[in-house]
Amino acid sequence: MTRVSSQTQAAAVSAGQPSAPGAPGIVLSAVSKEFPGHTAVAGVDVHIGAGELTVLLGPSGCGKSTLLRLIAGFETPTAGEIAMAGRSLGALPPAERGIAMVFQHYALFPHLTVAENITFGLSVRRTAKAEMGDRLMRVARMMGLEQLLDRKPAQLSGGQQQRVALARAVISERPVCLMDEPLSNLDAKLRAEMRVEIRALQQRLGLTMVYVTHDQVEAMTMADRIVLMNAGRVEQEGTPEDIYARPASTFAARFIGSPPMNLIPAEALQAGPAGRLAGLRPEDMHLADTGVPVSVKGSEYLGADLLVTLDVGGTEAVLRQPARHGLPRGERLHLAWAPGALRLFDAGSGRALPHETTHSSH
Amino acid sequence: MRAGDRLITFGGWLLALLWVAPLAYAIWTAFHPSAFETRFDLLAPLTLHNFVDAWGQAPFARYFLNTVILVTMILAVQLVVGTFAAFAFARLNFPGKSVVFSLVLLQLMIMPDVLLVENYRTMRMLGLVDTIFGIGLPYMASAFFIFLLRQTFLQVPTELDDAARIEGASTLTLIRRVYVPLAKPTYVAFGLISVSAHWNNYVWPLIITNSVSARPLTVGLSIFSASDSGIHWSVINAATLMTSGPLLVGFLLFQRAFVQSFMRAGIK
Repeated sequence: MTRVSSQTQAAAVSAGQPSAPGAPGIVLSAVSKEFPGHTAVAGVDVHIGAGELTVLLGPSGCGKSTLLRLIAGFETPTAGEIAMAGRSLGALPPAERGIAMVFQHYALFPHLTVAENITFGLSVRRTAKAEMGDRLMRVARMMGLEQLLDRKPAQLSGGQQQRVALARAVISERPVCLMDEPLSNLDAKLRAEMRVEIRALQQRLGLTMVYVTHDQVEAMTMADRIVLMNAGRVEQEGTPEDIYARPASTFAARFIGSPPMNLIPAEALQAGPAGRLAGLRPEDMHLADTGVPVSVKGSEYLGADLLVTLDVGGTEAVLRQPARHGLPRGERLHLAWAPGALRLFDAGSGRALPHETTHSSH
Repeated sequence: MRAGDRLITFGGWLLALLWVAPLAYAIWTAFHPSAFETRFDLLAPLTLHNFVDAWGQAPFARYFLNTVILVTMILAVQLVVGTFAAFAFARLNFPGKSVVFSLVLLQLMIMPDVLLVENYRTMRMLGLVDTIFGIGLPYMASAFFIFLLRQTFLQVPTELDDAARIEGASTLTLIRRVYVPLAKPTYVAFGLISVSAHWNNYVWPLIITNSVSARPLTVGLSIFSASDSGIHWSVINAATLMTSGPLLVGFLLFQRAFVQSFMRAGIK
């Protein structure tokens, strides 16, 4: 059965067509995972769309890696169910789930050459020599590894090792690819390149990809959908635009965006009663002649932008403005914001409150 | 600083000379007629007669065969048993793991010589007295190797396990294609230790064997040199060189590989 699907996959890849029809979606229902002494994942419901790139995003220890290992089958959930293409995975071993995986430290076998690393899975599954060679050459060309096939992993740069790890996932021609912080060991420049490359690969092959990261930039740039996790639970699920524009909680507001959304007591902005927090993105605020009085505490020059740190009634807030406007002069400055940009949160629970027309002083 | 370096160099030479002196003497006497046993004359005639004599006076061919069989058998079983045991202790979870592992460690702390009598009783019970298998059996599960290999296996990132498993590798495939190749230096280093230890082992084989068909070289040599035909140092030394020769040659040939393996395996 796997055989048939992998052959149709192969045909699709070789013909340069997306193989999306084969890529299944994954549904997690009330999945929990408890380890002795702590709960890593607590009742998570997630829908991973077929042929989509879903990013599991969150700070370290939020359960995102555990969730990925549950999908891979390295761990079994304490409660709940994981289904792929409408079929429950149960206790199916990892190799039979039709998934490939790229690991944080690449997990290349140090004693094998690049070619042997890439074809490791094929040779374990006793694929015919000729087919193995064909697939190796095709994937090596796709990933730009033709010149490196005889090297050992230790002789490769970080970026090349990453490519080998990707090639090993691609050659399996499995429709689902799991990625566990694959870019965290690369320098910033390479990371930016690989982001684009992985996203392009996922779209070209029509893979269902689950991508774990703690880097919100990776999530924002690559994802079709983001699942934001915190303390073993799903904090918010949605498209990057959704989560950025309408964070469901103060956690989501602070985790996404750099610098993050400012959270200011609502009464300081005359935007609501006490016990509420007003959330404003740095780029949605500007300095004006009238409005909420503020004072400038400092600034950070970023080239295109200038980040101005303000004191708003005792709370620090960061405002982003084009750098060419320069740092405003004068003691008495006033803060205004774009209409509709302000979000209200309950200060106690941190949950977002229903959007209401807020009386901007502008 | 300079003086310290010189002292170390001097010490090194002194130890090397002390170590090589008996060997040099053995080589001298073995290749010269018995008249030159205690006379060091550079012009003394060379001869291979001593080797021919020694070879003819005792069944060294049989002893050689016995030792080779013994050493190979012990090493083969040690490697197989050690690999599985080390993998189990390093990566598997099973009830009683820590108890079993502390038993293995306990074996490390007991000198094998203490167990000579008890081992003899066991071998007699099993009917293995005076067999090559009987000489080897007490050494086949090496606690030292299990411990050493477990430490090596523990250093293999578990990510590699996951990567192999997701590709469909069974536990056996995982051991064979990932763990064993990665632990190669440890295997080589231990192989050397095991071969030389059992090639040279003397007391236990002496006790457990009493016939030519099971006797290894060491025991054969001692019986040969203690024979009541008088002591011919030339012949005895020729026999000694014959028996220790293969190990010496092997070590000289593979010296570099061995030293590297020791460094990588962390045995000092």
